[in-house]
Amino acid sequence: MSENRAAEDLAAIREMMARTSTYHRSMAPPLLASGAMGVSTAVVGVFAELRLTLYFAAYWQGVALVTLAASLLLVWRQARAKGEAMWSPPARQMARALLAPFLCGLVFGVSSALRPGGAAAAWSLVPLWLLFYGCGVQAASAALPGGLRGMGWRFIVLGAALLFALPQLAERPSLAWAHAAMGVSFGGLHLIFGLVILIKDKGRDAP
Amino acid sequence: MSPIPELDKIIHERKRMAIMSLLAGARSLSFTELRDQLELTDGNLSVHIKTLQRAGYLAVTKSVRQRRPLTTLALTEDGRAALETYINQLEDIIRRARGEPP
Repeated sequence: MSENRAAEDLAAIREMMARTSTYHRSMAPPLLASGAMGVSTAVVGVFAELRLTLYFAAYWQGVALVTLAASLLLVWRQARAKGEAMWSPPARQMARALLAPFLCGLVFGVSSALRPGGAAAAWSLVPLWLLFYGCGVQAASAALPGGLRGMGWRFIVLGAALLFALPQLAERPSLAWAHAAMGVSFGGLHLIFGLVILIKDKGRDAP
Repeated sequence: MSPIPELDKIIHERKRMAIMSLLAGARSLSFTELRDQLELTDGNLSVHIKTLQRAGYLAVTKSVRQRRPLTTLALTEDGRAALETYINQLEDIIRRARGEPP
């Protein structure tokens, strides 16, 4: 066998293996942690009466960054326990897919926080964040395990429904309700999908 | 220098090598997923699957999902080991051709 044929075959094997690789670390712990964080953040937001847009945007974006860091830590611990690299090809694929929509959500959040505005400005962030997050998760879905493939669409549908429903209301609900909407949507959906994955993981051999 | 080891003829066939590689990346794939990825006909894929199954490289599971038959394929431990050996042999061939130590 020639060197060229061997190199060609090797490249083909690696390309094929990467094509079907899905992210096989259990997503249940980071999803459940994100869900619990979302719900508790909403509860604190409602009762701490964080009414200004600046506080609303900064509060939720700060929590999102902490949740992201906690999720990465959980994934890193799983990878370390198995002696595997954390940044596998599907993990990199997921990160690339999520990066642009996350940055767009962050830009919208920062720009809204800097503009003076009341509940209306803060409320407009909720559907936008849902849509951006949904797009990111959906773009990453090729690398996600089967149980998570529909998650992105759920966020997109929820964001779109909220976007169309809000202008129909005679009066924009208070910011306490915006915190509640964040808790129900981000917290609730993460908890639901975390539980689904947890049940699926228990139903088969752990990877 | 040690002689070049003989490559596994079962994996060496390009379509079978592709089947093994796709399955190595995934835990398992359905017959239709594999057929669509490789753009093969049902008959052609079946022949390759039988060859790999006879060699003990592939496990085939038949079940019913939503009232439809579902054929799921996965690499066996032997299949995974054979593919790993094959990859090592290819790397060895490249190293030898470049005059690098094995």
